[in-house]
Amino acid sequence: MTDAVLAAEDLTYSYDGGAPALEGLDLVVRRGRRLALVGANGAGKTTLLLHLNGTLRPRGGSVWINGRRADYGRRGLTTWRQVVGLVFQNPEDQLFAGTVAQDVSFGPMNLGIPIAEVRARVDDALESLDITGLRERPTHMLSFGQKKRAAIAGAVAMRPEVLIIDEPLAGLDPSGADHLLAVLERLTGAGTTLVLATHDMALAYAWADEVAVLHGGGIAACGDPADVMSDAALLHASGLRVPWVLDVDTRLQAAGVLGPGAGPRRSRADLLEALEALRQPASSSVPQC
Amino acid sequence: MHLIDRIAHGNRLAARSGVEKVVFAIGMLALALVLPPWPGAAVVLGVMLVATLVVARVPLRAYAKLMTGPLLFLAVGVLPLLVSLEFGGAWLVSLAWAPDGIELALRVTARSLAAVSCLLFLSMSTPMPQILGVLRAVRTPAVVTEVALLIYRDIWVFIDTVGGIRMAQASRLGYRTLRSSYRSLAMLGASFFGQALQRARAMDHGLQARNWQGELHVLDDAAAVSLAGLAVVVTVQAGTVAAVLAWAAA
Repeated sequence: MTDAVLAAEDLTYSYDGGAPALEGLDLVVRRGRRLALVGANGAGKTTLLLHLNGTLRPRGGSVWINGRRADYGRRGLTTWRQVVGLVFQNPEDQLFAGTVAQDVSFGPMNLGIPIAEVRARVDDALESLDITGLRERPTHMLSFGQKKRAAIAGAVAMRPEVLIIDEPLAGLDPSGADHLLAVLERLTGAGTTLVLATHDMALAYAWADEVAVLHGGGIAACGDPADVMSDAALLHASGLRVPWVLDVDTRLQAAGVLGPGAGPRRSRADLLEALEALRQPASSSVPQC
Repeated sequence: MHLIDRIAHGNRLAARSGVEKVVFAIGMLALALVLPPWPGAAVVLGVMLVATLVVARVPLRAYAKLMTGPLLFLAVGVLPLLVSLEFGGAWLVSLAWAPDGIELALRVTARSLAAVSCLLFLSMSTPMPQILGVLRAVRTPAVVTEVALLIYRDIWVFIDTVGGIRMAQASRLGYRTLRSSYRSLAMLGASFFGQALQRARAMDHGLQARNWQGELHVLDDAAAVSLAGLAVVVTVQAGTVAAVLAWAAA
């Protein structure tokens, strides 16, 4: 538990007059790891995320940041949001300033750091999201994918220890999605702990070090993606499905086409590589001319 | 709205300092109001047309389109100046050409056109973020600039929202008859209000996530005011005054 940068313990929350949205939820976010939070629509993902950065205050239970119980006072929230960056699903909810650079500068400006440092952070954030060219572009003249990246840059510029992104790939075209995944890879490489909330099972399976299944206001299962995601019954009950890569891989192994391999095949690329390897001995042993 | 904004961000003067453009437009506006309408307003109008169409390269069609509104308004406003009411006579009240009507109408028209051309120059050459930068620089209360900023930002979101709802309604025949149009419009209004509230809440969460402390501070990397730019502005303004005075004296 010592490497837990963020933890939720027995969280309970209900919106005014509604059924409980979270009920006795426990979650640990380990430093430097990639955590995928998967859950069906209405499972309470967004509610949980709003608890993880102190926007909502639980009715019961508590949130822990770097081993300390969360402080909901003004100063506590300020440090909290420095540690935990949150990017919402709809970038429109986050972009308010006239230009991209101005919007990205908003977070750093609120940290009360010197202007030169703000400037450096804005440059870095734009650079790492690959949108330096959009600096002076008014936010309403961006495409959806660009808005998404600008919104993430706004959180990255605050240099959070944990960056939580709600549905990062929703609404992006395939190349935009690849691009964003490359950006996330870079952030992980730079030491940022990443949490993605998603119901894209293939993404969660391919990307995460750890998966937590959110269902009925609690964590129904959590752990290694290969373990959690092979439990078809549990996923089904949570409104989710086994990722197709895992499904196909299991069937191919059952049919004796593929062996177990060195480790679980997580992505389309892994699977194709394994299939390609089957063909190669045949073609190399029979030279054509 | 989209048109003005696109031009403001794309014209040849877009990257120049907002201060230079604001000083130019406001200065010329003052001249349009202070100098005698003939030839003062005419000269101001000429200078502003050149500044907007030639220097900033605003397309003539867009300019004409944006000028139409004020022109119609002006035409309606000027008509009453041409006539006067006379009491008495067979009809008790009768209409007649006002004695100085034409001259008065021409003067008002010239002055208004000149003033409008100054404001059009400003709105078509200066992106909103620059104008806000200038307002902040002259210490306008933060409340005013922040509200202006949020309105500017939300206009685009709301245009999209309303457009989306309207399209969804129209594609289910919501505007087929006058009756259904009224009903659809009412529903659009109601749903828009709800969405605006939701948007406010979402925006609040979004700002809080970035440590919003109640003020919207952002880095303002505006183009620096260049002395050369200001010199050009002042020269043109002085030239305008000189031209008008010389013309009036001749």
